[in-house]
Amino acid sequence: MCTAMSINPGYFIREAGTSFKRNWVMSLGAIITIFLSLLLIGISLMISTVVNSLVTNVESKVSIQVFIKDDAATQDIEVLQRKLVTDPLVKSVNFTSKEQALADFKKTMSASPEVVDNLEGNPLPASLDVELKDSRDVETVVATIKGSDMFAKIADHPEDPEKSLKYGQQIVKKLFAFTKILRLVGIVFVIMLAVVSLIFINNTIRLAIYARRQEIAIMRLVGASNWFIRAPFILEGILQSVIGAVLAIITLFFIQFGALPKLKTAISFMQFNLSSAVTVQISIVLIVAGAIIGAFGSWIAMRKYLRV
Amino acid sequence: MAERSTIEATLDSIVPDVNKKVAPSVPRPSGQPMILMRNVEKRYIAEKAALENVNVEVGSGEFVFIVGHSGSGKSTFIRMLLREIVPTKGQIIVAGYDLAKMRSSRVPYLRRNIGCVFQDFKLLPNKTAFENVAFALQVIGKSRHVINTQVPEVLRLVGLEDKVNSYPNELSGGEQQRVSIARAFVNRPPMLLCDEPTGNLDPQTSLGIMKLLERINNTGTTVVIATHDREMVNSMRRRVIALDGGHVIRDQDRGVYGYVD
Repeated sequence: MCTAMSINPGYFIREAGTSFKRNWVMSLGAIITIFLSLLLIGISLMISTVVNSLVTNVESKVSIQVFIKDDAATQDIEVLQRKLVTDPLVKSVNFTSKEQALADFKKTMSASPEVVDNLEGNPLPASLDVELKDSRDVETVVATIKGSDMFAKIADHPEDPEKSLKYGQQIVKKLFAFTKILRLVGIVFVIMLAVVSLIFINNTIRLAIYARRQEIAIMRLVGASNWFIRAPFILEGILQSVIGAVLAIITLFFIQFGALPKLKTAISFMQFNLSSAVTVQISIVLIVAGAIIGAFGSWIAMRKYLRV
Repeated sequence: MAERSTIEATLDSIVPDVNKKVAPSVPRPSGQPMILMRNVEKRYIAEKAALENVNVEVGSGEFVFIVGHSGSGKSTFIRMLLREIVPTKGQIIVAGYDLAKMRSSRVPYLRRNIGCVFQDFKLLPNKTAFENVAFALQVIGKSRHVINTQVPEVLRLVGLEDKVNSYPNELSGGEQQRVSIARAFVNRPPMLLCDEPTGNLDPQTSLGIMKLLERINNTGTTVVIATHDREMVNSMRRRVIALDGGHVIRDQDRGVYGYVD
């Protein structure tokens, strides 16, 4: 019975093309709206990837430094070190001697050697550098260290052991709060843009339908199936969004290969990475999102006209 | 009279074709009614019925006039047969479809069994006569081959073989109505439903259209015409169903218009 389905697909493509030509101003408007919306969605996805890589970068640098007084016994230090290494939250523990600490300090200060020259003897303490498997566990590990007797014994400042610990706990907390907000804002943003695109596609298809209401009335009268009437308009909606998506993807690749390298050199103190694989993933997301927006927008626009 | 004989010849040549095409899916004169309405009622607002207690049976192959003033329920009657609207109460069966129970998605298949002709022709201005008729076949998924054989045939039947490539604005009112009848009939539906088909035409042209509809009726097609063309109804002496205030007030064979207005 479904003879309409057996018709050549050329009919639908031709119909969609004709309608596109007839309403090209509106179609162009829809394409540009979709393009800009998807571009912004793409950019926000890009930014979140970059921020993620930044966060990972900073996180990996979060470690705990335990400063040790100069006259601590080597055995005592080793006991603490062994104890920390067995902790399941700890990745590694490295011992930095006073000499090593001074050498490192000289290296970082190589730009201003006069600071190093003014040093009397070696004021730097030896330290244990504790690296964590997950930087979020920083508080737990710090508590463990504080709780150990050996730490109190060998700490650089026995009167206030707190001062003998250095860790980037504050930074991590702030960073997590920040990325959380950033993600939330991103999601709201993406939803808003999707709604705008949906409305615009909906309007364009509505105009296309209005321009052809006579034809649709006759189609319904002679018994064209709803799918037959609907298909060209939905195809048109999908076509518009996919063109918009392709434009957005092209722009994203321009950003990736044109603007990002320049940005990287400009803010070289922050290290981040954006691989082409990520951009390809974003592109796929945009194409699919565009097609869905187009189909859904035209579907809604058609509904009213097909109520029999 | 030369024109008439060609139409007749054409008709004769397509009659077997009609039977062959239509036979599998459509109840032929087997006594099964084309339209069956039982206790049909339609209310747009709760207080006043647009149609009430309508019981009508139209057999396959009949020729029927529906007459009545504006507001008598004539339009509601027609729109209900097309299932543009659903009755509030009662049962309607058209061409074997139970309209009150049928799903909306099946409506297109019902419409393929009902050819429609309107007062305002409803032709597409940017399509030629051929394309307008072909459009009806195209959108129900007929092949190009079927279109290229059936469209010229039906245009010859309505007497427009030399206006095939004319646009609607190049045709007279009568010719436009013929195109619209050709479009309604090209799919060989078992029933033709005409809403004021001669409402915009002069008496002479109207007569030609009526003769054409009669010829189509002679092929076994049920023809239902809603009209207030008094002279036409009176001269044809066919079955007349009269509506007034939402009620069937008269239903007689070989009837007349019967109103004084």
